[in-house]
Amino acid sequence: MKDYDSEILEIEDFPQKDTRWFSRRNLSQLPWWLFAIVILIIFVGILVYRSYASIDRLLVRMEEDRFTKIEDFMENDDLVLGTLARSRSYEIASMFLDGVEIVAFETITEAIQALLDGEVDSIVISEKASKKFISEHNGKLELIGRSLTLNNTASYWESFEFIYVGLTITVRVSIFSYLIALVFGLFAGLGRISSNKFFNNLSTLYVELIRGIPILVLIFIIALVIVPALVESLNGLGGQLIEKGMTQLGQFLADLSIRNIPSEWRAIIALSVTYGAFLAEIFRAGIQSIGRGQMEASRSLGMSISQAMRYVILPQAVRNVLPALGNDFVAMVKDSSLVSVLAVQDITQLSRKYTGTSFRYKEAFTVLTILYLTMTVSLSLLVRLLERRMRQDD
Amino acid sequence: MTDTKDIIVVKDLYKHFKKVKALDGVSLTVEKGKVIVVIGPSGSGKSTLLRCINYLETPTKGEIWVDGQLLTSDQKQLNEVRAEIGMVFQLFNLFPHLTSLENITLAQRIVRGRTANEAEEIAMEQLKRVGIPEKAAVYPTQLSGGQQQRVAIARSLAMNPKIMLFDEPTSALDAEMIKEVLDVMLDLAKEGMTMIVVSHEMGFTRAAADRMVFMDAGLIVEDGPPEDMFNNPKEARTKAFFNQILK
Ligand SMILES: Nc1ncnc2c1ncn2[C@@H]1O[C@H](COP(=O)(O)OP(=O)(O)OP(=O)(O)O)[C@@H](O)[C@H]1O
Ligand SMILES: [Mg+2]
Repeated sequence: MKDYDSEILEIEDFPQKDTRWFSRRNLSQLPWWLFAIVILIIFVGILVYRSYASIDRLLVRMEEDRFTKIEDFMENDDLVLGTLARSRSYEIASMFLDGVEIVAFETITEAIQALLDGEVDSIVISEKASKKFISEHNGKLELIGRSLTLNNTASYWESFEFIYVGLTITVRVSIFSYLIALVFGLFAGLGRISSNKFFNNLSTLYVELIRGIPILVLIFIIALVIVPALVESLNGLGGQLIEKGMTQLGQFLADLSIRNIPSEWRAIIALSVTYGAFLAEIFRAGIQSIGRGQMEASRSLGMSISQAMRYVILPQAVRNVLPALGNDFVAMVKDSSLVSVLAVQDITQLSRKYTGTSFRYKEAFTVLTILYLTMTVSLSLLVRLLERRMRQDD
Repeated sequence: MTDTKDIIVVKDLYKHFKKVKALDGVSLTVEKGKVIVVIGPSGSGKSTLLRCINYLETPTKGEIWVDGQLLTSDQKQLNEVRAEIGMVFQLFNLFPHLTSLENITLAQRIVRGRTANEAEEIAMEQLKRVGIPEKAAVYPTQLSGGQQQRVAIARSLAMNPKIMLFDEPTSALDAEMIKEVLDVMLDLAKEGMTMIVVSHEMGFTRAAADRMVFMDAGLIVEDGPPEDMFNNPKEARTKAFFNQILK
């Protein structure tokens, strides 16, 4: 046995020299997060480059002198602007260019023809798409100015400034939901291994029900159905308490209104109930990973079951599942984006809001993606670090 | 029954696991201060008997009296009785997240209600008694098997038990560590501790046991002074067992 071990060690310790810089061994020695960062940079680079290339410009007849930029259309009622129907330029132009006559064309060819015929005075078009037509109608058309879409790095910054405000809420929702979920999870996890039939069945029911429903649906049903129903029944209880003479508490309960519970808190309740079921399974596995002998030794010293749990089993179980708990916190940060469906102003919701008026999908959702990645990648790193520390301790 | 010298009385005890009859009608009386060694083939019910005595297993049928009290499933009574009965396991079962000292102080504080200072003082005394006071701040994983078992014994003794149960305390140990554990147990026997020891260490049995009990198939087959049993066992099954383990 000993000899066999050392043989393996030798192979590990003296690897074949491999001088190729890209050898598999070299690659696998690089930390995984370096890959994440490189991919991120490439991703952002491509997006920024592409958005420069597709800046919308104004295509006009040669020697047009009544205007130089799109804003001039608002000053001069004679000017007519052409765009492609259902395009982003059309939506933006019709939203921002008050009182400007805009014609939407089904095809570019139609639009070009209309421009040549003088039906419209300019077409909003990207530099790339316009090249073909400029050379086709040599000397008749030219590009000027810049259209309304501000596809450049400044607009990334602007989206960022609009969206990052929601970080407070994303972080707050994640942390509060997680802390409450820890409590639910601990109780349900203990219930899953309890010999008390009622407690055990209740916990199993909770875990199985939650795991059988998509998180998005859970958020809808808890925040929009169950919490309001609970509030209503509390109102009823309050009424009864007033009759019984407990006016203060009764009045408080009777006056509770669903409007007093902001959607952020309803979202937190929904997420924590959901994650409580996930964490319950982690706690259960953690407790079951502790050998029977620990409980027996504790009991034989005269500890009660709850003392043994609190002082002997749980400290070991929690330590064992710390990485799993950390991973679920990362998952919680991601799933917190779902609460945007309740109009909670987290970064996802703010991105949607921002694109709703600006139509800058590319910028907003790129910024959003990077914000999430920054949080999740650094949290994952922390979890890995923790795992490594724990392995060294053992 | 409180003034009796019989500190443990087991009456007609049965423990069935589904179809397995681990104990099939066992009666045993242990007087205060006596050392009983239990032997028998694997699966004969030795561990089950010990575990029933402090109710780690709930008997199927029968009575167990400890220090004049009939044991029931009442948790409060059991916690109190268990605090009076030390138990040492084959695999030590130390708490790996606590140092030796913390292993010994935990139950003292939360079960006996001693202050941290008191508990630590007693823990250090017990560590000295088992010969490893220098290991107080060390975690179990950094101890040898023999040292771990001695900490486990110290942990039980710190509760000032009236009875100590040992379930094969040396069978997981390398040969060179067996003696250090047996020496501690021998000292304890000399000090007059009531002990039930499941062990096939015949040296220890000769030196310390007042009585030897041979179990087979959930029954006590033979019960008597060790020398008599070694030299002329009455039962054929006892004889066969000795032949087997002495080979
Ligand atoms: N928790 C349990 N569930 C089911 N069967 C059990 C359980 N504990 C013990 N048994 C069975 O009861 C019988 C007696 O077991 P016990 O552990 O008391 O034997 P033992 O004499 O201590 O044996 P060994 O020398 O191997 O430790 C065995 O057949 C065993 O398989
Ligand atoms: Mg056994």
